[in-house]
Amino acid sequence: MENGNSNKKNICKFLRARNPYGMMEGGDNPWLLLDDANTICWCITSAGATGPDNGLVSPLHCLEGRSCFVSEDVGDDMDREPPMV
Amino acid sequence: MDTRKEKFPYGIPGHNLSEVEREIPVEEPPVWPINDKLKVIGKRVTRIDALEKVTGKAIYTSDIKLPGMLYAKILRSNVPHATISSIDISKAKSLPGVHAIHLIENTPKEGEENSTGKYPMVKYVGQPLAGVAAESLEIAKEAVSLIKVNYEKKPFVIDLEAAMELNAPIVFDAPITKQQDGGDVGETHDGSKGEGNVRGPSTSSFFGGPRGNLEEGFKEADVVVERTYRTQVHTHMPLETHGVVVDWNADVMTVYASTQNTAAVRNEMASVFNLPKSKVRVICEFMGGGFGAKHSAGSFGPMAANLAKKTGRPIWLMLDRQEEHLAEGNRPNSIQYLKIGAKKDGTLTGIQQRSHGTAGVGLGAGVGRIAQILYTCPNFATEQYDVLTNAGPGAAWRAPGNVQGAFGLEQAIDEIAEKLNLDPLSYRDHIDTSEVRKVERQRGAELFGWSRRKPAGSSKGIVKKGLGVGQSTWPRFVSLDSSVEIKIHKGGGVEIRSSVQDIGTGTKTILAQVVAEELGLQVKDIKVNIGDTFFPVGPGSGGSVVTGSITPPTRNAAFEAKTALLKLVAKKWETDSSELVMADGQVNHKTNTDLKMSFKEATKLMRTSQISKIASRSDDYGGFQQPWGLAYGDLGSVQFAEVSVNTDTGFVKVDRVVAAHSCGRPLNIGQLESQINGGVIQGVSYALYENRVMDNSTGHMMNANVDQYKVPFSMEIPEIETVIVEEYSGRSSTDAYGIGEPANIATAAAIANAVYNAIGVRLYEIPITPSSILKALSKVS
Repeated sequence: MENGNSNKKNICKFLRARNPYGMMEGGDNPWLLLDDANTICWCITSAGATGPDNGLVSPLHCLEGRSCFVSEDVGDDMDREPPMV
Repeated sequence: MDTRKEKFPYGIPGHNLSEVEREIPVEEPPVWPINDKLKVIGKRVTRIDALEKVTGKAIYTSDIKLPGMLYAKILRSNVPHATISSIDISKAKSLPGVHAIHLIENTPKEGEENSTGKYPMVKYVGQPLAGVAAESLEIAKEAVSLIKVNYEKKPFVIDLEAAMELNAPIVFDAPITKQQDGGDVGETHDGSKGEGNVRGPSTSSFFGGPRGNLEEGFKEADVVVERTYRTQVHTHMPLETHGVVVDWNADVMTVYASTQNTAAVRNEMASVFNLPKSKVRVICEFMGGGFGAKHSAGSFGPMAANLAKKTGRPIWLMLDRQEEHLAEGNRPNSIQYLKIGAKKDGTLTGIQQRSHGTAGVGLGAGVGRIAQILYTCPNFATEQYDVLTNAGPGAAWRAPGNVQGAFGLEQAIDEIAEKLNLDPLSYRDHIDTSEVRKVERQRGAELFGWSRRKPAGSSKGIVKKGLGVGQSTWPRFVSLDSSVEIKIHKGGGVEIRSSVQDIGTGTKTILAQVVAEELGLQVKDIKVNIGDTFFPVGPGSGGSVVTGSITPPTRNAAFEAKTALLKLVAKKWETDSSELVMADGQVNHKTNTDLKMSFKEATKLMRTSQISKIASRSDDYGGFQQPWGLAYGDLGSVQFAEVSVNTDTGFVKVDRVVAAHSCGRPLNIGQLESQINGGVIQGVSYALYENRVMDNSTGHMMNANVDQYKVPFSMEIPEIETVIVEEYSGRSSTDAYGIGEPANIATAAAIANAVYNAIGVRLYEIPITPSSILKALSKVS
């Protein structure tokens, strides 16, 4: 598990996670990390479990500072790179 | 506060039924009595779409045909770990009938050097690389075969235990040296460091973290069971594979999807293509099954949309069975160490759990919360580790983690009972505080004939009989983002609208029942239009959340629509609407029997062509355990299995399963039985048959088909009987919950315990095969 004290804010807006109790979207979501021993994560930019930088997709790693990170604050109307797929 | 107090039925009829007072929002409907006093709810109502399904009229995603539609196929990697130096599409591009090829490419950010290469790194066999759109599926397949990919192969690792070795090939190049919080990277079960591929541990859940003191707990124990259990990788096998048809025109992108979550697919496609959600419409009218892996648009959704964009034509992209096995999710495997201690009187003193599992290139291979919460024990700790391998990613799979966890826990509890010389069912009465499981044990045992059970290994003859039991718990989750629109049309029609999808479990029917009950109509009078994101948002079908989330707003919206209609009638009769009721297709005055009017006549009083009311899910009456929608109570189950084991051939036949379940207020007995049957069959399949077999030397799955990936045939499916225990808690306007997950959790554990009872030798690994039985009996080496 990516446990405990990890920063639960500033998670990439393109992270998606499926917990036993439902679908989670990225961004500043305070309950995203709960019970993540059974959380399956994927990136909707790369459409897979591996990010656009070939790294692992998880709430712990999809944070500010990663080259492919996109902030929740970036609105849908702003220009951004096209998706990989 | 805009609330009122009402008394709700509380408890289990025939056991401890009483009342509880709840404060409820003033706009919500009055309490329903228990099911005995209702006309439609809790009855065996035939599915409203049964005829369409059995006559082939139901249109599934793969049946969609649109003018000008092209067919797409995905090119997938055939090596498990590599960088791609080049992709040559020239031959494929020139094939007649090919309209477009879309390559998945890395997108460097402006000003950044693309250090990751032009193409994504390959991490597993089956990873999508490109897509082709052509005039037929055959042409698309041929074009895919003409694409040449030049790989620069890298070392890879497939096997769980091999991936935990220090010198194992690393799945993700960036080494994992420590957790962000500075914690350990994890230790393998033998104490060696698992640098690189091992992630963890997970030590807590939303039920809390470790408790008590394990060392002290085991000191207090008079008996200890310490075992290691193994479970296999279990791939998804819904009848309908993943897939979409994307029709993208200037106004809107319409996605016909085989999905458990129309809203999530809509949101994903909108985000990926930078569209407002209002310009993406996802439709799922009929769905051929989904068990946790169909919550997203996947890679195929964006691929189809890109091809639609390139060609300007609708794109059909359904995966085949091999793709389903390789890339669309699986239940991770596990190696679980479990140590349980108990006093002479049976009181549990300590539970220690440590697990490793692989979800391939993804995370989420934990074994759930079941060891943490099923039984009262003051001292508990768990460490759950993910191990990364070069295999297809895991996905949620019907009660994620908990099925694996139950297989270990419920066998260990049986072993404790045996050491204490106690009957395993009676022992659970001692350590399980759940009132509903107590009733399930009683009623299930009586139907099953538990008293027939004999000591382990005492069955005579070559074919030995055995009886076993397993228990489960599953939280009551509620999605608060659940809304429904009810329309009453002038002239009598009633319509339900929501984006919630019916994945085959009967959601359409229970919604119609709820509205029929509230309006005093028949189910056939209600038209259900769901599975369309142009309607109010509904929950995803996962976590057994649908019934508990969507039926209360359905009833609430129906109640609001009814109230509006009754006001019109009251005005005509010059009385108060609170004096009126709807029943048996009529509006009646409570006391003046001369005042009555058919429902249809009442709707003619409407000044507009329709009454439309939208309601959303409110918080549970009395609040939640956790504010995000973890309700109080649980969805407990007790399952009993009877097996025959041929000690000459090793074949195990599950003869009979009695499944005792609860889900709050049952809405439709027939559909509940159907879902429980499905869960039990999947449990039998998990215990005895299904198993992803990988070639560790090539990274390929050896049985990615429906021939060698064994699922049970009709003769291998046991006789299944269900016991459904009504349990009222007064938490919402329907007080009803789902059954999807609970139906599947305990089955494998019950079968394993029954096999032990038959042959007197315990098996700690599934699937239980003829080979493993003969090895356990020392008949083969």
